[in-house]
Amino acid sequence: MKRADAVAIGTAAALAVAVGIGAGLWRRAAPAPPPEIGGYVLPSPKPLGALELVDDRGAKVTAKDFAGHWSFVYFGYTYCPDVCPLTLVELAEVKKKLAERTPSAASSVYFVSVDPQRDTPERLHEYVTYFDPDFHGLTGDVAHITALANAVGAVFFVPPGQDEKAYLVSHSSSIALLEPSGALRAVFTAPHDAEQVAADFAKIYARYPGRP
Amino acid sequence: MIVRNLGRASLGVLLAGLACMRAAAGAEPSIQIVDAWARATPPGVENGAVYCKIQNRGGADRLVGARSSAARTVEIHESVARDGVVEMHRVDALPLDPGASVDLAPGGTHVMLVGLAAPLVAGAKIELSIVFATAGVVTVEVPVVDARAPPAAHEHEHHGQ
Repeated sequence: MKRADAVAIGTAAALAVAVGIGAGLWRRAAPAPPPEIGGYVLPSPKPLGALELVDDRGAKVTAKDFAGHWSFVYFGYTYCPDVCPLTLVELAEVKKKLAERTPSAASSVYFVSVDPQRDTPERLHEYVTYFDPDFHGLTGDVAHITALANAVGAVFFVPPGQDEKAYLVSHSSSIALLEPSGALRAVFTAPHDAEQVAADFAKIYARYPGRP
Repeated sequence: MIVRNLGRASLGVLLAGLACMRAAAGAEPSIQIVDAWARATPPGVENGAVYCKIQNRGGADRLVGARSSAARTVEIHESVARDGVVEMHRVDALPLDPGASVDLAPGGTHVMLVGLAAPLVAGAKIELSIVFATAGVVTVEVPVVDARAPPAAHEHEHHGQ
């Protein structure tokens, strides 16, 4: 090895160490940003607040029931023939991919009705289990569904001027992700692709393994 | 080589001849509906959706309505995502430019079956009539497809039958 080369290598090594220390200091000063996903990740999780809903088996569900596992929460209604089935098919696919990619992360999928007037627990049960036998349906008082929607940044409303029985409901297209503490950790924005959601979840899970 | 070329040429002549015969007989409608499929519905569900491609080989036209014995009402709907919210709108008329091919696909414009007479079961077929301002009524047989199957199986459903 020539002397000049050795000096060059030595300088490069010293620089690398200096940069490394600098980056380390900087990292201590400002936390690294959350992972980038098709949507957004909250640097600090946001708790849900009080709510009381009914699941598709008629059981009472409160904010505590979202603790202990990751929750994928999507808002929709059974009268929706296009976007809701499309999203639930993707979520069933996500579930399969997660079983392979992140088998240690327990997760559940919740389909929250934005149409409690027509979506009874029985109706929801038939609907959600069609897409996956483990999916959960949630319905209840509009006030409590609204509370959950508000907590995860979702909206829904019945556009005016429609038939009293055959009405349509507008709703958020995103999927909320609650961490095992029961708090909101991320939001996946539409359009949803199972591969992307699973890959994004793996990133989030690696960064925030989550404590129940 | 020569034989093969001759073969191709005669096939071309034959096809051209067939096209002329069809045109003369008026068997070729100016609007064709292809790759139609209906999404199989979960039990208890009252609404369904049909997707297809509409190919306009004639002059400017408009889709103005649809009907099916499978549902009480049939409407054209459009799912629109805006600012993270999905809304469905009824579309009263869908303009079709000359030569246009319009895709009615999941998550966009679709035929909505309102008030299903019976759940749509995979493997079954329903009849759908789409009404155009100029071309008139075009009726197609629509296979019901279980959309939960992976996309590869889907393709098979579309083209295999």
